[in-house]
Order: sequence, then C-alpha cells, then structure tokens
Amino acid sequence: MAPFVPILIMMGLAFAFVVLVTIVTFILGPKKPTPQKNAPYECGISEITPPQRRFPIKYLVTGMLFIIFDIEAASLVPMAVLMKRLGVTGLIELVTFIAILLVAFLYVWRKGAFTWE
Amino acid sequence: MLAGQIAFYVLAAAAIGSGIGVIAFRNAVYSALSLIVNLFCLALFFLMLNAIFLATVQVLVYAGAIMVLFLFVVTMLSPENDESLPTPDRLGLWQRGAAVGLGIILAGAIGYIVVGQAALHPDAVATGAQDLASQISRNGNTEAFGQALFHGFLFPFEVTSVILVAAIVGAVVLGRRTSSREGE
Amino acid sequence: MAFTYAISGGDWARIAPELALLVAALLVMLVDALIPARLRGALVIIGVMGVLAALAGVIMLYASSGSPSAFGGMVTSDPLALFATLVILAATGLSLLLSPGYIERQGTRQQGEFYALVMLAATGMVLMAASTNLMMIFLGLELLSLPLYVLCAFAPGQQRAQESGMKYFLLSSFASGFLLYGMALIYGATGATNLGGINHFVATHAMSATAGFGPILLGGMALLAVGLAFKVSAIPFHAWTPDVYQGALTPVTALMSVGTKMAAFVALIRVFDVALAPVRADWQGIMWALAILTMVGGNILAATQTNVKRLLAYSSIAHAGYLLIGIALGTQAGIAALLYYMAAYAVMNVGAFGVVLALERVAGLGTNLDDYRGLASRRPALAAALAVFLFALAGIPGTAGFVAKYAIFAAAVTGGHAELTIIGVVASMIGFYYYLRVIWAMYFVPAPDMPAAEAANANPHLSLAGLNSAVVTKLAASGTPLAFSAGLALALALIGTLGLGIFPAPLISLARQAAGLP
Repeated sequence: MAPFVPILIMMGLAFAFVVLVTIVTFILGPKKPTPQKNAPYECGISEITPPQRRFPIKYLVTGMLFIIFDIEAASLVPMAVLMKRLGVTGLIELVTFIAILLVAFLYVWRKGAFTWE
Repeated sequence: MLAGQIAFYVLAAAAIGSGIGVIAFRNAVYSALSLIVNLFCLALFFLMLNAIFLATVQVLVYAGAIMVLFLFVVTMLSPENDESLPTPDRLGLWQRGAAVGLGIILAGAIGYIVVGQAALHPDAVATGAQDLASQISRNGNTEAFGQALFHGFLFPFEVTSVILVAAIVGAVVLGRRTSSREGE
Repeated sequence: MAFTYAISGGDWARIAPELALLVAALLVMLVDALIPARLRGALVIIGVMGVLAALAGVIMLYASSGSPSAFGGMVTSDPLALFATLVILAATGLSLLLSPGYIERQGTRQQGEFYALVMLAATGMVLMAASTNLMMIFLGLELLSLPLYVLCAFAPGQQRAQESGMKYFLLSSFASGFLLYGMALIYGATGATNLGGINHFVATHAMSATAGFGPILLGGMALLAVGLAFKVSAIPFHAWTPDVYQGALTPVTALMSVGTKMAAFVALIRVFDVALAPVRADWQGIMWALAILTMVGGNILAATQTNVKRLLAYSSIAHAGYLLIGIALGTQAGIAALLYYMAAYAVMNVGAFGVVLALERVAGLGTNLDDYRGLASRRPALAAALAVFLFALAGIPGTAGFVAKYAIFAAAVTGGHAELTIIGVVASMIGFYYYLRVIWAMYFVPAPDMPAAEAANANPHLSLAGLNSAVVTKLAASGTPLAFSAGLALALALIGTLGLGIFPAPLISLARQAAGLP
C-alpha cells in the first residue's frame, strides 16, 4: 500500500480541487435569471422531442468487442513487468496467446464488425 | 496499522453506501454511476490486500469496460418510461421470501466460518501456502502473479485466449444479426 | 521459484486431440473470412478433417507410453480422458455431417460461424474431460458453454431459438457460479486445486466438524455437485433442458445432449469417484437420490410430451439418471458401465436427432408427434432408422442400448445397490411407453393427409452449397431429400447402434481399461 500513498494523495487533491472550484463558483457567481437567459443559447431552438433516445444496438457489439480485447490487454500487464526475466520462453508463450487472438481479430476485421455502417 | 484501519472503515462505508445506491436509485444512470463507485472501492480493497494486479484488472475491466456495457444498456432503455427500471413491486412475494431466506442462510454460513472458528485446517493452510495462489497473495505483486501465470499456470492462461476467441465469434454472431435486421 | 517447470514438446503432444480441434476451429474462421459467401457451406469439410485429425491424435496417445499427465498436472491423457474424447469426437463428427443442408434450410447465413463454434465447443468438451485440476475443469466448462449459448440462439429470427439461447445462458451462468463457489470452498478446505492434491489431503485427514475442514468441504462438495448436476441435466436441475433442446438447431441439440454430458460426467468421476473417494459416505447419498429422481422423473415427464424434440429432451434427462447410477456406486465397475453407456447413448441419440432433423422443416415445424403419423409409408427408410434408434434408447436386446442398460444395472447389483436396479428397470418400463408411442404413430396410424406442405417446403438449395449437388441421395420418394452427408451420418449411427449391440466386447474392454479395471 505504501508506494501508492503519493498516488492516492494526488487523486485526493485532484478531486478536492474540482469540488472546491465548483463550490466557489456556485457561491461567488451572481445569479439574476431572466426569461432571456433561460432560453436556449443564441440561435438554438427549443426541443420538440425529449432528447433521450434509444441507441442503435451496433454500439453494443463495439462495447462487447472492447471488453474482450480489454481483457486481453489486462493479461499482458504481468508480462510487461517480467519482460526481461521471462526471456525467450516468455516471448513464445506470449506470441502463442496473441496469435490465437489475432485469428479472431482478423476474422472480426474481415467480417466488417469494425466498420461503421 | 491505525491508518490502515481508518482507511478500511472509510472505504467500507463508501462501498456499502454506493452498493445501496445501485439498487435504491430510481434513475438507471444514477445506479450505474453508483456501481462505478462501488467497483472502484473494491479495487481499493484489493490494493489494501496487496493484490495489486487484481486492483489493476478491477479498474481496467470492471470499472472501465464492463461499465461501458452497462451504460449502453441504460441508453437502450425506453425513454418513454422515464428511464426507470421495473419496480420491485412486480416481483412475486415468494421471490422476496426466497431472497430473504437465502440471504439469511448465506449470512449464517459466513458468520459460522468467521465467528465460529470453523476456520481452515492448518494442514490445508500449509498445503495452500506451497500453492501458487497463496504465493501471489503473500508476495502480493504483479511480478509474483506474472511468475505464476507464465510458469505454473501457463496452460490455463493459453486456454483463456481460446475462450476469448469463442466470445468474440459469439459477439459478432449475435450482435451483427440483430443490427442487420434493424437496418432492414 | 518452486513452481517453475519446463514445458516440452511432449506436453503439447499430450493434448493433440484438443489442438487438432482448435486448429480446425481457427482455420474455419480464417477461411470463412476470406472466401465468398456462397462457398461457406464447404467449411464443414475443415471441421470433419479436424475431427479425423483429433481421432488420429487419440489413437497415437493410446499407443504412446509414459506419464499421461501434462502441463504440471493440469491435464492428462489417461485412458479415461481418451475414451471420453472418442465419444465426444463421435458426437461432434456426426453432428457436423448432419448440418449441411439442414442449417441452410433454416435460413442461416452465417455458416462459417456455425462450424467454428461447433469446433470450439468440441474443444472445450475434450479439454474438460482431460482436466485434472479444478481450474482446468472450470475453463473447459466455460469453453464448451460459451459457443453453445450462441449456437442455441443461432436460428435467425426465430423466437424459440432466442428463448433457448437466453435461457441456457442465464441458467448456465448461474450454475457456473455455484460450481466456482464450490471449487473455492474445496480449495479452502484442502489447500489444493489439483485433484491429486485434494485426494491426498482428504485421504490423510479425518473429516470432523470441529477440527476444521469438515463444514467447508461439505459446502464445497454440495455446490460442486449442483453445478455439475445442472450440466448433465439431473432432476431437480433439469428445467432448462426441454426448452433449450427444442429451440436450438437440431445438430446443436444432438451435440449438446451427448458432448456436454460426457464432459460433465468425466468431471463427476474425477472429482467425486476419484479425488473425493475417501469421503464417499458424505456424497454418495446425494448422488443416489439424484439418480433415482432423474430416472423416475425424466421418464414420467417424457411420457406426456407431444413434440418429438421435447420428448427426446426428457428422454435425455432420464438417461442421465441411469448414468448417475455409475457415479453413485463409486465402484470401478460402475464407472466402466457408465462409460460404455455414454458411448452407446452417443450413437443412438445423435441418430434419433438426425432423423428428427431430416424431417424438420423451417422453425421447428414438423417435429410434433402428429407429423410422424404414417411416416412408414411416406419415408420407409427414415422411419425404419428412427425405429431402430428408439428401440435402442428403450433398451431392446440386439441394440447398443440393451447392453448399456444391462451393464449399468449389473454393476448396481454387484455394487450392493440392487434397489437402484429395481427402480431403474421400472423407470425403463415407463420409457418403453413413449418410445413405442412414436413408433406406433409411424407404422400403425395413417397419415392425416398427404403432405403437400412438406413438399412445398423442400428447399431447392439443398445441396452442399454447390459442392455436392450431384450426390444428394434421395432416400425418400417425397418430401425433403436427405443431404448426402446426413445420410452418411445416419448410416454410421445405425451401424454404431447395431454394432455395439451385437459385438459389444471390444468397446467394453476399452471402457474397463478407462475405469482402471484389467
């Protein structure tokens, strides 16, 4: 845990800064609302349908493929740490792992699942 | 030691609070955001247990990728229904009863093991200590994990890639067919 | 580090069947991505070649000597694994041969994916049967399940198929959770995930409630039993089976009903009958009760079915019950009988599903019992084949089913569980009723009217995507003609069903060898 304390402090500071700035602007900023100010900005028009819509499911395929390749990437983290000590054996093991997934990658590519329709 | 304990209780409170938030919010987006906080707290728990690699994976895969999928599902919910999920009232009474019953059994089992000292047999602990998994949890770093992964557990590691291939084909088959039908 | 071990070429040779199937799956994917769509039906050839290569691997491993264990005790190629691999390969090969023509008739445009997923599922089944480590058992199970989820939902635009895939996915993932939790508890109790290590720990320590590992091990065993019982569809974990089997494409159903069962039963043998043998008293009762419930329940539920696919699904539950006797006995004779039973079940069940598939029209139409009325006059060859398979499933002498039932009931008597034999025989009697009901409908009930609809439904593009158009055999005068490969598969299944019934000795000795008997 100890080596991560600086990171945690850093994250805490970043978070605190965001909260602080938000609060300060909220307190200091003058609030005098008029109908003009509440209208959509400049040339914008009022909404005619609710802005929330259902998204096409093709986002979902992208999301699923992202997860799978993300897991692949996460499996490579320990390899990166040990690169030197594993030597050639480790390289062969890694190449086997990647080669199997590369077939799947080629397949997805050729099938056009990466293409935006 | 004291600092660690304070950190644990703060984290535990955040984890439980966000966990309640997941099921208590009516708005699905708030639930999803609570889940992110919850998963992040879990990652910090792993970190406190010295399981650095698990923490990394927890953030990368769960708080990152799986949450993306959750948000996609949220966007597919019908906006006409105010984005709210089906209320629990629709669940049958027996389902609630069964859930409560099973929860009590689970709490009892865990309580028995923790409080009742039905703890691990010393020999099992000794055997386990020679095992890879506990090497990882004791040495507790990505290096030990990598050693295990690329030596003793090499074969399961390679099998994982085949499982990922199956998942990829499955995603393409199911996803693309639906999208092509929607396009028609 | 103490765990480092050198991986040699010998380790990879020990998993030659798995490698052959995996390479075939990857080749199917690659070729599928490169060739034009109209040629994709030919990908089945790569699949069949993969099965044949895996078969060669099994023969090579049977002939080889030395320690069967590989990858530091993760997997093995002992006779048990090899026998299970043979059964799984038979089911995979027959299912592949049944697919051309049929899956096009069902409107599938993604034939490459279909064959790739079948090969990946087969890889998982063989891997699970070869696993000697809880982690590998789980990985094998996931590798066989993931492709099957997708394959169940494969038929495009059919609600029943989507229901099938969704149900199987949700319930099976839930069962996998039980399995994994059980494995975690067993690891906690014994300190090992390796089956040999678990066996060593259990054998050298007394089970006691106070001194530690008792309650945790019991919980682990219970959860593990739930997870595996789900996979073999034992009652009361069977509810998914009929819906999933009915909605899935029929070659997939055939593969699932045999391959998944075989893999899960080998896991049951390895975990309970071998690794946890010293604490047999603690799990035997559960398996005993599961066997009785499944035999009786499966047969009674099957008797009320009016759809042949559902009927065969319940019949597969009932057969899981007979097979569970082999686990409950915990003797080597019981295991040998189970293995022989599984081999017989593979040929007769895939054969029965093959005939159903030949008669099935789009979207599961033509699988009702009413559609089988008067079949003997319309398609005499198919009707005769189905009659043989059903007689075999019922256990009529002269077929593989009889020898299998005899072997398992005899093992129960010699193992001191005559009550299981009595209940099993009574349950089989109920089984006769519904198998004979189908045969009765085919031979003794006249057809309602001539199937003009069936003739109209016959797909003109039935050939093997242009490759085998010249060799589409016409086994029947009317209705959908049978694709050449499907005819071949049915002929092979028929030979197997009758051959194992008349000359059972070679396979019985192979099964006894796999069970560790002389």
